[in-house]
Amino acid sequence: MPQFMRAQLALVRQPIIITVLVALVLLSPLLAIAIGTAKISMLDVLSTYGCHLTTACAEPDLTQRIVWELRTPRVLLAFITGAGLALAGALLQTVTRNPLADPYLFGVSNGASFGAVVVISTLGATVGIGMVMGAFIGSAISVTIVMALAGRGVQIERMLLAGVAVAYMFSAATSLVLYSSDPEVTVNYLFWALGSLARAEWNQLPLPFLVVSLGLIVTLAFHRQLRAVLSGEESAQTLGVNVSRLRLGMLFLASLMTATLVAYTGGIGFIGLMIPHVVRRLMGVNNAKTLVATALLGGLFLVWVDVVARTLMENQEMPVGIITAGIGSFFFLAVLYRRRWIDG
Amino acid sequence: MGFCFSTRLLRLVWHFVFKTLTRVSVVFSVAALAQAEGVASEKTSGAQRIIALSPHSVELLYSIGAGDRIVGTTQFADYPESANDIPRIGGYNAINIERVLELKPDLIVVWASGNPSADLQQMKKLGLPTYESNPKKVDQIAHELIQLGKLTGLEENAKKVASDFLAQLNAARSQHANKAKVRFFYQLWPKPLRGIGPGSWINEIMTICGGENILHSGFSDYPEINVETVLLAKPEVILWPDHHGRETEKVHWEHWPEIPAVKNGHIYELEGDHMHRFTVRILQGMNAVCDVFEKARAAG
Repeated sequence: MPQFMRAQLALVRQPIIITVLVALVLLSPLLAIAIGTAKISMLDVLSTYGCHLTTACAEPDLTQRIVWELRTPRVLLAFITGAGLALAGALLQTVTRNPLADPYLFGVSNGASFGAVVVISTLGATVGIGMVMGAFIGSAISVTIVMALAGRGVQIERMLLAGVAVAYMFSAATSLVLYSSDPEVTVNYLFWALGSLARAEWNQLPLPFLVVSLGLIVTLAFHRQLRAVLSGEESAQTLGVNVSRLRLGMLFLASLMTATLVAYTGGIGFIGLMIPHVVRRLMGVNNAKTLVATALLGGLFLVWVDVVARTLMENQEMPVGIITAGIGSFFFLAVLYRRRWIDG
Repeated sequence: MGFCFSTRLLRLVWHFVFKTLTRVSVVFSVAALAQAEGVASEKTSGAQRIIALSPHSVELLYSIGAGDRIVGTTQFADYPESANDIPRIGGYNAINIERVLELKPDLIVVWASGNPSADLQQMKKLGLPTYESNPKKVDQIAHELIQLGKLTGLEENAKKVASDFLAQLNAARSQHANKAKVRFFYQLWPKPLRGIGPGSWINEIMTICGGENILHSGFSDYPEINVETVLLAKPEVILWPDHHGRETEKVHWEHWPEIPAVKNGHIYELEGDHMHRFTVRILQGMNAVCDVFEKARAAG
């Protein structure tokens, strides 16, 4: 198929994909909330929202409390986290024009982990806001180092190399802290690093929500510049885009999102790498709709992964990070297997 | 350092020459020694320079009166008080083998669940006299006491301590055997929320006191669970261990009066070391648990 036809087809396909995604995003939470340890029907879910909307919920029953206080914040946190991590991945892949870029490659996640483990071992607890601060400071340090070493004009190769080196540096520092702490800290770090959405509560949601919304708004506001960068640095420059400043800003934004989400949910890997790839393959071209679709699909993906995590075993949760990375790596191997014929 | 190196070299040569001997592994010979009755009376004194590589073996040695023979131990062996003065030769992540050799131990009590297996293998290869203490059931503590008694020539002491221990354990068993079962949730860690499964060590203590674990099946002995599971299971008692004074996040159980334990105020903090260590102090942990369950039964 000629190139222009493929692009045309993609443009026709885009609105359909977006419509389907939006429909799924509206339906999925209701379905996901109705699935879990307690037997709860869709009707219960709807009645809970009905009573909360009409402020007639003075004395909710246990089912309604489970729906409202446990499952709803959890599904929302899953959606926000998935959307944010996917968007951060898409941003990094765009500004570096490297399909492998994700928060792990730039040391952002390792920096965040290091900050978190320092907080766990010194304050001895996985405290919400302390963890966010620790994780954010850690990832900010790693981004600062990467940017400082990026050289004039912010060269991508230098950035990637610096990112890999910083990632190793922080993982060594994390190991050192763990090595010198007692086993309880190590076990808690391990469980945190496996990823979990179980700590979701209403009062924990505002910060992740604000940060991811900010990320999406800024990304959409700059989507033309981002697209220009993707088509090549020189052409972006001729179009009047300040490439290095844009890169710096977007890196900062991606690390802000990653740090916040990592602090709340731990190590949920592979979403930032996988979802943007899926969306690019589905949508064909890059534009504002692609970015929205990336966020929506990332959110949907994590909502359903969390349903699996909650229901796979009776009385027990499977750490979410194991499932995302498990599905993610299989998916990638499958893509590579299929591409073997096309590329080879 | 030179001394250390030459000792190690000698050991390696020894190992090379008597390869076949060491292959059989010294653990077997020590176990055989321990099993053979009367061996202790031949060697009246028993082991005099002991390295105990776990907090529980240090405590067990103290309780049979061999505490002053311990010349080296690991991190966290902090009971009784005087155990804090024993030189440390490693932690859960590594054992300093050269220090072990320097201390010239005639008995090393190892712990497969808590010592790095590579270090244990090397000690066995070097022909060091190791004995593995790894109790998994409460009753095995008595067995451990007697084995350590044989190895240290303090068998009489050990037998007395062991039979006292078993007597108290069995008394508690028969006392609570026919009482109403108390449904409990043991919160190992608050966030992410983790409990204990039926195969775990702590569960056995709870069962002795007539407890019924709300987590009756599971993939792991220390599973991660969600609040919903506890809400639906409606435990009558919620317990958790203290974490050596360390602050942890709290699960806000008070928001859920639907749980009987919350409604009736049956939420208790227990001494973590009494629950998690394989020593005679487990009796104190057990008594605390039995008291708590009694209170829950009295409240109906």
